[in-house]
Amino acid sequence: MPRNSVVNLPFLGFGLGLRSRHYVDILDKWPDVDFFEIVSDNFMDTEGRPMDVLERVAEHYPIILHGVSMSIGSVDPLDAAYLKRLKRLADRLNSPWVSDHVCWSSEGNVQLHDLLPLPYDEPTLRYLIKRARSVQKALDRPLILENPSTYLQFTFSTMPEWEFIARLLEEADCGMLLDVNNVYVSSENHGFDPFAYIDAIPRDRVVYFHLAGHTRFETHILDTHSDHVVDGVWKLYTHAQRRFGGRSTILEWDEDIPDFKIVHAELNKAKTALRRAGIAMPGKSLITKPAAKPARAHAR
Amino acid sequence: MPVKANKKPSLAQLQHWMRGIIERGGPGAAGTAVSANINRWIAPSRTLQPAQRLEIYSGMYLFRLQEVLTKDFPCVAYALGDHAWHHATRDYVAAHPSRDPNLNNFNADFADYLYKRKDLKHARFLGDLARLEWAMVDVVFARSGRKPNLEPLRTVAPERWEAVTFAPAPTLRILTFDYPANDYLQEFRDGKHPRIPRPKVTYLAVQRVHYTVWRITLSAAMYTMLGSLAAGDTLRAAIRKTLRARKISSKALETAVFRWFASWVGDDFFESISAPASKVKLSNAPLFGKDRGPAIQEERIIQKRIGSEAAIVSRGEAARVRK
Repeated sequence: MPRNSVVNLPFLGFGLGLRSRHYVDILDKWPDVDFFEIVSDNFMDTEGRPMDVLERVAEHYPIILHGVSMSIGSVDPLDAAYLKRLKRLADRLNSPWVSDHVCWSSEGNVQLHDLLPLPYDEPTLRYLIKRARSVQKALDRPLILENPSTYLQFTFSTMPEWEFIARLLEEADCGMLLDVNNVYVSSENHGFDPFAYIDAIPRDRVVYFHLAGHTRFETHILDTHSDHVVDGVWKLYTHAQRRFGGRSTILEWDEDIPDFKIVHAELNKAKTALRRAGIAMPGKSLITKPAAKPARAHAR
Repeated sequence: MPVKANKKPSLAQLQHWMRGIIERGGPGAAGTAVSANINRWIAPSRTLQPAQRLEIYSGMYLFRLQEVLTKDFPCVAYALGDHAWHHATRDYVAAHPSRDPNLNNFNADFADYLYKRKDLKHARFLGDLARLEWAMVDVVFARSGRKPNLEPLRTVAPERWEAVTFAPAPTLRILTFDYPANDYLQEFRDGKHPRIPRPKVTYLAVQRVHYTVWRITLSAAMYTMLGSLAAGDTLRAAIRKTLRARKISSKALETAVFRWFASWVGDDFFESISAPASKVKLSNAPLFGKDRGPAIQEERIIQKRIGSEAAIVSRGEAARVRK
């Protein structure tokens, strides 16, 4: 991948995570949303109803792929079959990039279905750089890596998370999906300055942002995606948008999912926050729609 | 892969160690030997000890997989009750670790697992119920069937009917149960509080048409014929099997079969219908054979659509409980 390809990725605007709870609203009303992000793992092995809906949505909106199971930090070999299916889906939907997390989620061929933390040290960094390069080659499009929420730190880590991720992005030539809520959650759980985290990320590496709600317990915060975005995260978000010069944004809501209008209103708060802060957004880029789709008999 | 005390583990050792603790249900359940490195390898936070931090991950592992099971098998969960459901699903998670990045397939073996649980009261009924609920999920994710070309039905010569074959829609499941699982499920969905029923062999088709999943009760004869056709048999072979099963007299079958087909074609049970090539040699025997007598009277054919299902299934989204 050429050095600047991440910088040249399109600005898509303000989007939502596509969730089945909202299928009916979206298909009936075609709401004012710039693009949708799907959890790619949910669509890789299906040709049934979810894919029917997705193809209809894709006729109206750009779709980007976001995964939870690539397990780029796992010691298991990269799953070539998984990457092949992921590429097939990305090609089908013309997704300009594919994103996943800086984490591991499987070991010994057992899937733990979680985003598990890595030690931030030199050998792990070198290992991830190699794997990220292989993945980008296999997918034939940029890999965008997201910072996870974490709940523990290893005693033998030798660098902070932001340094680990910044070096990974530069040396593997990847883009970053900066999850602002995850920075906030981890900063509370580990006691670091979230603004310093954001300021340490290279300006030209951030491709888009995630926003979400979380759940606060007495002893820690869990990244549950089950509530409104809190004030502290909005502050971080405007700080990040100012630093990175205006990037696309996805709002995620995955648990206790409310009516579509509530989620949509939460996304619109992002636009309001930026307007109030006087932060201008670039013009939206067009991404080419998929060349051909199977004929569909559904009436709109 | 034992690691010496105070020695920094390799990434492989660390992940194997962590997986062991998570799969076993947390540092406490994993045993002293496995837990010995916790304080050496995990830093405490201002509010949590290393073991407590690790417990966040181990707790979420079981919770997430149980949540996926509860979404797909709400009626089995009701039938078992909270306590037994928790134990049955916990044991299933332990016995069937997930091997697929896609959570959609994690529940596929749950019905078989329940059938084999000899210690479980009503295991046979619970297995039936789980198989029914899984079929309803499975068809949502199955490829949508093509609208069949009905031309062969109009153009095939009557004497060649016996060799017609019918390819089932990928969204069709044909099921038989030792218990009236569908009646129980319907009562549950109607907000009633059904009791574990007595054994009674029942037959059912589960079919998705567009975004709606239907459950259609079958008679024994319909089940035999539909199953035979779905397996690729010709119409003659399917009729033979149905008569041999002695669930219906040949006379009754001859009367009923066209009614069945009209209904099945109307319900999109088939995605293709193939007429034989004209050179295929056909049997001279009558399609319905001789009447085998009134051994079993034709069953009342119940073809009952039972409500529209909320076909939105959000498995996999649970993978995003926490990032």
